[in-house]
Amino acid sequence: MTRAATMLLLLLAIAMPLFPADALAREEGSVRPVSLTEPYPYPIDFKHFYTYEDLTTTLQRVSDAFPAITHLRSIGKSREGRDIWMIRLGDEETGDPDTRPAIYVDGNIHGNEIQASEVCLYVVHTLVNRFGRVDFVTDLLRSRTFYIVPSVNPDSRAAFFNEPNNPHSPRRNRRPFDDDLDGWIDEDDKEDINGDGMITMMRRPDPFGEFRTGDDPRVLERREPDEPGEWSMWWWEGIDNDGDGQINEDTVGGVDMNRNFPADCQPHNLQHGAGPYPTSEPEIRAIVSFIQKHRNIAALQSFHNSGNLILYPFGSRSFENVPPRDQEVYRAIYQRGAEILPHYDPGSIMDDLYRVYGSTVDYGYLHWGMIAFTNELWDWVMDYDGNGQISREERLRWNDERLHGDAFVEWTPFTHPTLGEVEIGGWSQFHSRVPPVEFLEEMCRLNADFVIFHAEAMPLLEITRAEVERVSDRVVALDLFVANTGVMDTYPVLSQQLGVARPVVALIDVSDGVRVLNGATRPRDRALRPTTYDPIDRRTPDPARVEIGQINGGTEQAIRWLLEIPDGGGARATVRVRSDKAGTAESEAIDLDAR
Amino acid sequence: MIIGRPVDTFRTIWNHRRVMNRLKLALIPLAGAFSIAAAAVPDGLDGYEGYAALSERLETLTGAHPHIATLSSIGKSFEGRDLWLVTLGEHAQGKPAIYLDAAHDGSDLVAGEVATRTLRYLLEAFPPDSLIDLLEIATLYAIPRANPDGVERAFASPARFQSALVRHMDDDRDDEIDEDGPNDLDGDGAITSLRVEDPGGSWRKDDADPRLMVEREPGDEGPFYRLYVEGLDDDADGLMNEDPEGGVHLQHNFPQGWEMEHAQPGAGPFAASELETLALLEFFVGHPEIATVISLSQSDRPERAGVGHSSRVPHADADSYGMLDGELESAFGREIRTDYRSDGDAAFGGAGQLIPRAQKRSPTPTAPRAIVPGLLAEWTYFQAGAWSYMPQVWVSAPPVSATSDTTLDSPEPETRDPIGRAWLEWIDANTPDGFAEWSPFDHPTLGPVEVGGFRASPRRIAPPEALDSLATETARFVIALAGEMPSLSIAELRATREAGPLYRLTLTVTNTGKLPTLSVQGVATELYHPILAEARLPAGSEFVGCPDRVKLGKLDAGKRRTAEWLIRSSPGEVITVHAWSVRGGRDTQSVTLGAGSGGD
Repeated sequence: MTRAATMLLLLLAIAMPLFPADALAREEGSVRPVSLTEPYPYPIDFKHFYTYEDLTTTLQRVSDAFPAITHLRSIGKSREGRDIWMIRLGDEETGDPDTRPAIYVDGNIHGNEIQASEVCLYVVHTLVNRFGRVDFVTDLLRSRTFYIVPSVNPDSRAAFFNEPNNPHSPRRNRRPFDDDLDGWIDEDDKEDINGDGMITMMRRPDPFGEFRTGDDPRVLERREPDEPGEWSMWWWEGIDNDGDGQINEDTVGGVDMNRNFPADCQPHNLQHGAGPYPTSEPEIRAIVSFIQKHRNIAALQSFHNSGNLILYPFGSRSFENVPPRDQEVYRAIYQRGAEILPHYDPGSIMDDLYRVYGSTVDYGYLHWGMIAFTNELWDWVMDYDGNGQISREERLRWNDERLHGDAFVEWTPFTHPTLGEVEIGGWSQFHSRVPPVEFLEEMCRLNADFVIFHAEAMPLLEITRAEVERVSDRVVALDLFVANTGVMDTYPVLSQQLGVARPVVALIDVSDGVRVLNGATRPRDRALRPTTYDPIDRRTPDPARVEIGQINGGTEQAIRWLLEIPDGGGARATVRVRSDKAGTAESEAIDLDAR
Repeated sequence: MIIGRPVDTFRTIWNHRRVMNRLKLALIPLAGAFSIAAAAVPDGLDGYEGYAALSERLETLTGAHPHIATLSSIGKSFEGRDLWLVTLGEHAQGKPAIYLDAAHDGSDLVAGEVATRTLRYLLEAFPPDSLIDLLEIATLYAIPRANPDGVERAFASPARFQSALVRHMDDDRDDEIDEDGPNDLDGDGAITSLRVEDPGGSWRKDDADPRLMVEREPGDEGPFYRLYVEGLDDDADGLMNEDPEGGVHLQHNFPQGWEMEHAQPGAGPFAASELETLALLEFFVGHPEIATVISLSQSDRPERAGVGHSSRVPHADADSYGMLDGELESAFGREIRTDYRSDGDAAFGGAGQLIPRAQKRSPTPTAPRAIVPGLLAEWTYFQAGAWSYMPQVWVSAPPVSATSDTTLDSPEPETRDPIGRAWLEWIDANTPDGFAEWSPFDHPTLGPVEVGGFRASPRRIAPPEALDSLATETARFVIALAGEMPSLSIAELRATREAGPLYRLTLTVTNTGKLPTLSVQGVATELYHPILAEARLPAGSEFVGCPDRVKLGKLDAGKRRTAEWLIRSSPGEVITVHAWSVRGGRDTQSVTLGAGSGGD
């Protein structure tokens, strides 16, 4: 177990009994303990993929079934007018979920990456059904909030289900765009010319082609310069609709929305698919507007496929540019993630994958200080020869033996209107990037577990203790200790460097007759207790309000107020510590007359 | 042997040179005579129009010229004011457009007023026939007030010259919005300054004129002062005026070279975050025919007037910019700065200083840094490929040389602020209201202070009688730009009979204008299609092994390019060929197939 995980468990062990939400639940008895052997009140099915309509209905039913902990709303409309659903998970009876530390989770920003939505649904499924049954989940939804957008690109999701496609289409949204600059828009899309309901590939025997047959005759390999060619290849099935000699060069759609965010963005010619300007797409505008209004979001997960990766920032720069302290926080989370998710490799988007300008992850981390990840869901794990690589032949063997051939469409001859005699075949639409449906639930469960761990690591404020000491006849010193029990800092260092971070603030409220003389942070360690009682070293316009700055994960800070108390006793104070991302902690009434 | 005969030739784009000569002739006698009676405006801003007056003005103006001018709104400002668009002429495919706007900075009252008056000049004073000629060459889109909310603050009381959009922004990030702006403490209708005597202050009175506050230097003797903007600590947080109204600057909110707030204050939460920015960007996305951009602004800081650097555009575009600069300079009668450095090799600009907004693209795909982050005119050049200019129509600066010329034996004490001194002298002589004499005030948190100092209006407002000539100059600029437009035309269309029913159709297109049909940067954006040529065949005819539409790249002035089609047809058939570009013109010609035999 990693150091960070150990620390987290320790912290939780200390912090659990102190959760105010937990205490409240026990007192009110609002939650009936139920054995986990009883069936879930609202099980969601993970034995099929969800069409957009199916997704919508399911979300509506879940939110109807759990009105106290879910809130479903449309944050905007897609280009074709579909609602972009956002479901919020968080217990409304014990407070306002929008003030708690929150994780933003989305998926399916690329229309073909459909299983991202099912993972989002699984997060909903596992949390709503366990709330009130498992203390951990009950506490989680009373201390943290989940904002979940299962499908950012509902138009292309619908197109994936309703139209013939291959595993890689349609990635972009449906903005009309003249890809080949011939004055016609979206005029040369792919076609299912052999009528099998899918778009696969086309190959034609060609001694000067760039491809040769692999060890398995179904496989095409790019040939070396000294090898003879065997095949010419077209990645997508289709015809030359506009008669320009090219096939499928202006498909429907135009913007790769994971390049349309306003962080480190670049124009279309430097970042293909970026769109005319950042947030030009209604889907992205909706998400950016939502995030802008929710400073409580501390963490972000944006699900993609495929490759079994846990990716972290930046998309546009090296991870070396992440401040060292933030690197430690990222490492603590992705290392645990790699334990939760077998066969998943952590990596930085730019360093380990490719460079992406204007991505969700960069927007979250750079602009808003969210600890942001993007998981690439699913890869085939069938390394028969144990060489660490999964070859096309191994994939085909797995297809033959385990999937009974379902994932691969055998090459079949076809007479193409302009290419002549070709063969059509290749990986089928619902395979290769998407798991076979039998593997869906396992993939969803593990990734949902990572989301829950990620959420648990968010910063959370807790008032740990208050000490009152009499300084003179009329004056007492109140020492208040506040801890961040999460793994993440109240703001990442990057946000502090960019001036995005706002300080944690403590506010004291006193009973009648009590006067706040001054207030300031002080060394936490008892050995460093100041010998004088004037810790003020700067002018504070309002001594009742103390700026604590940032509190790192797993650390504690101390504040001291000097208070003049009236004769006759009964002096009381309560303290509220508030932050953007770590929630608000409020003390119980503190008796100032003590000692 | 040519056997085809061109029939039914028609040109949609005029012969430029002839038209331009007529336009110039039309301009000369009128330039001095143009005059518009000052409109009735509130609060002493004679000659300047607030939003209501502007709306009425534009409605009247366009209503009086229904066949030429249309008024529409491209969107609403934050406070719900229309972003008015005046369109002169009609757009047709391929026809270029000139875009004119002003007042991104809400305190650019002069630029805003000049934009409206430029439209009035063109519609009311320019000969109508010449205007029609001009609008045959290029459509004119004008958005005279891009930040109407900000401009409107100058018409309020106390009058404020507000640069930023008024969108609410929590500048001091205390969860309260716009709660601590400046206050007019002495009730003089203007926000000036506060000075507080303080031995630790970093300001002192100028030796030459004690009304002027200058920065303290080592060895100075007191008394010293602290200086504040006139106001109170409204939210009692120990800071004054730290969260005034507004906060996002339209001129820093566009996506080209946009920087976050820590690097560019006023940039806004993200590029294109504001309604006004979004409306303008959507307008450009919807109007790829915009070939040139003129974004009018003004300055009261001569040393800041220039920020452009045209030597940093891609080489091929630099040549075109250079050609444009030369032509515009002679039309405009003023120097155009193409390589302006802010360290001041230039004298103070005066009206009409032009700065091409241009800057080199980084060869690697990293952020191309703009000199000023987030300007529209940067975006329109780098991301839309339009030739973009930011003329400073008005640089308000008093003649400094007269006062700063102090010799060693001069009995008068030397001033440390020659510009401020010159301003004071100018204000004393011309508009005594421009300076508020220092007067005592009992401030609630600072104690006894003095209120006084410069009022902003003289620095932001040109004398009303100067506005018409500034508008005439701007109209000249627009007219001169129209003369530079590219013009794609068909130089030749031939049909030769190859064998039997087989004909070879040969098209030659040329650019009879002055600018390329598309800038090099426009090509680099990969957003605009090249020149396209398409042959349209009658029923029964067909192409032989070739597509009907061909791409012909971009054409520089005077250059030619040829396309060929092989068709199967019969004598007497008429073949029509269309050639068009995004913003470089279009042309159509037809040819009748002859009956003669053989090729040539």
